[in-house]
Amino acid sequence: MSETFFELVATYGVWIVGLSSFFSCLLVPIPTALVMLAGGAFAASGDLSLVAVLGAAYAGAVLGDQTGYRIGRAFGPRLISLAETRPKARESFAKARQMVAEKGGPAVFITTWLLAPLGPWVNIAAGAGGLRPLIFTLWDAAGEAIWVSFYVLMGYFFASDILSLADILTDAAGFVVAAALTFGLGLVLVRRLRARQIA
Amino acid sequence: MMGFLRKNLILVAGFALVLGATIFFGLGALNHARDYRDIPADRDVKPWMTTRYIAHTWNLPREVMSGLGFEKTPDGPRPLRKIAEERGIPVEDLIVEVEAAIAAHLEKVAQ
Repeated sequence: MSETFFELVATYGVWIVGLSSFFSCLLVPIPTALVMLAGGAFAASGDLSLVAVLGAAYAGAVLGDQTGYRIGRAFGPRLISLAETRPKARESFAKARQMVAEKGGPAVFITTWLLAPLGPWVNIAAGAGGLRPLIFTLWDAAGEAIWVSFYVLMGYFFASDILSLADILTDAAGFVVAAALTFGLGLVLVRRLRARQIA
Repeated sequence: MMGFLRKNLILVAGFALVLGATIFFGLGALNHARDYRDIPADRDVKPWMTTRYIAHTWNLPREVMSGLGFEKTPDGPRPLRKIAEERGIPVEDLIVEVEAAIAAHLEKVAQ
């Protein structure tokens, strides 16, 4: 599968890099990490310009995140008001929204690179939860800089090995996300068990 | 305990699922990393590679690729598959040609 995306980059260049990073920030399942690796590799070989690859990937990612955030902002409150018909639901939504508005920034930051597969969801939630646009943009722009430069530069410096690198990095990224979710759900389980023992 | 598990069935199932995924991806990453370490430097030429990428990867001087007639082609990235299409030949034939040129160059260097 990796090779199909490498070939797309070899054929269409930086356009593919920008488009795939834009759409992968909007829940379209594209392996943008592989596309960025290839972009970096073809920059190393002299087929593409490194600055153009970095710029296209970064612009695509930031614009994609902004679009997701705007979608959350536009449709989130309406959806939430549909869902919060029961008083209990209203209470938990209010709590969630307050948490997003107050502490959403670092969550946006970490899900642009370390937990990138969760990013699109968090962007929409940040918009729906009322995180301020400037706060969202700053955390997001900082995080995407890490995500984009990591993969593009890995491709650039290890150009000859991108095929093996793609396999390792894809699994490693999956591992980090799965481990984070395991930790999170485990924490919830432990809390519930404790609450039950006390009761 | 059974009551607790039944009451939190979705949560427990979700936990088991992501735990399984963690092990799956973790072992996968380790396996790929080990493959990577064990693979020697002899790589295959693939249809997605551009002539510049091949030159970069095999450390070839300009003449090797231009000797195959790639010099006259316009700038911009073009994978071997596209070049083969333009020449009206199967990409496999082009790969054989490129591999022969690489082998000939490496032999010359070794001497």
